[in-house]
Amino acid sequence: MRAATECYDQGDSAEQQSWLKSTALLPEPDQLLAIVIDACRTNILPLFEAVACENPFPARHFPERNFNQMVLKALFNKVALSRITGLAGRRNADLTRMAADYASERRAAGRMVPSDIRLAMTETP
Amino acid sequence: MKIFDPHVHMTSRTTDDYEAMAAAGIVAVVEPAFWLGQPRTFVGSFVDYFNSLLGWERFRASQFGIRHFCTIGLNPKEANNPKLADEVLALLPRYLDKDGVVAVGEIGFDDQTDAEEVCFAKQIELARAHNLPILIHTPHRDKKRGTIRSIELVRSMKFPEERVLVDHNNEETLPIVLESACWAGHTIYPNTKMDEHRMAALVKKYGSDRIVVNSAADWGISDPLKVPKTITVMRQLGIDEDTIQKIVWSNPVAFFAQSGRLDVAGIDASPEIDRKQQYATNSVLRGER
Repeated sequence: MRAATECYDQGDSAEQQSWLKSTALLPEPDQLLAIVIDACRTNILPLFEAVACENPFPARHFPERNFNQMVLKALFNKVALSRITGLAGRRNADLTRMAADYASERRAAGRMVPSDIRLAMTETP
Repeated sequence: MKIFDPHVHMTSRTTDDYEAMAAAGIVAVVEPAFWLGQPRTFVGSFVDYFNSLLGWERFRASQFGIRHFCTIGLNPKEANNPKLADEVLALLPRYLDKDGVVAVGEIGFDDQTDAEEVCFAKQIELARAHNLPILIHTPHRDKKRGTIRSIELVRSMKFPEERVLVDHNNEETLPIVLESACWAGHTIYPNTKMDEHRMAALVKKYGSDRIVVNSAADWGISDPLKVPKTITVMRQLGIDEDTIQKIVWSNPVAFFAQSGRLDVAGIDASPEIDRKQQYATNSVLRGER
């Protein structure tokens, strides 16, 4: 496991992306969780997509709060929500409220609301 | 018109930016400590960063006739690294006593985690102990709730609200901040957060009390001339000079003067520029000497 996390810590951006895409296949997900959550804080979009998109790890292992933040960050970065594996099964009341608040904030600013925002909501508010 | 930009990350900017800012009337800036776009993983990186804000960057600004102040703190993004956070918090008391440090900041919420709240609260206590105001960063995601939580935390700790600047507001958070006694900052960015026309509309609706604007101008897409550009739009939309002057000068000066470390008469006078000066044997001149 130490070898696996060192690969991430010392990887360049492309190596880190490959590593993050493989996390769902690695053993001991609990040992990887902190790294994957931290990777979500990146401002490098391809790195964020390596976690959030076509990757079952977040839906399987992220606590609700971290999962919700990831979905909001996808909306912010115009990443299609349909790319988040397992989103439908992880929707929750707080995420629904966060998405509704985001839509309201965008409207108040005179901006477009992403058309796929409903994928983050359990019901239409 | 003299301009005070109360939030601008000059570390990320070039000398061309300093020249353009000075030409546009910016005479004083506050550079808050924040993160640098990717996580730092050793406490020594923060020592070097804080030293740079207090030394080299202040010197660089002075070479263009701009007075440079800073805020010192552990930002919420990096508060999520527990070992690093403890080590940085332990450093802060030494830095918060230094001249030119006019607030504790940027502190607040990013992902709104428990770790962020712990670091936020500890730094509110540090601000009280060092008799400094605080600069609060509000989150990009779930901003409204993050703003409400921030004000509630300040209130629950009985920190004086008039010594709090809540930054990066939008149409939905500004009225929440104005209902408190906190000050409200607005970051005018090219694409996100707030733009000049929306800002002018907010000033028409809410006036100028406790309202400030800044450019943030960091390593991302941003523009260090956004405060003067906002002045232009406010004028075009008929906002009077007294209101504008309050927003871009009197308000930020009054807020940071609460630190006791902003020499109000000093920043009113024009600084002398002497480019033969050096800082730790470095000069902004290249081969020109």
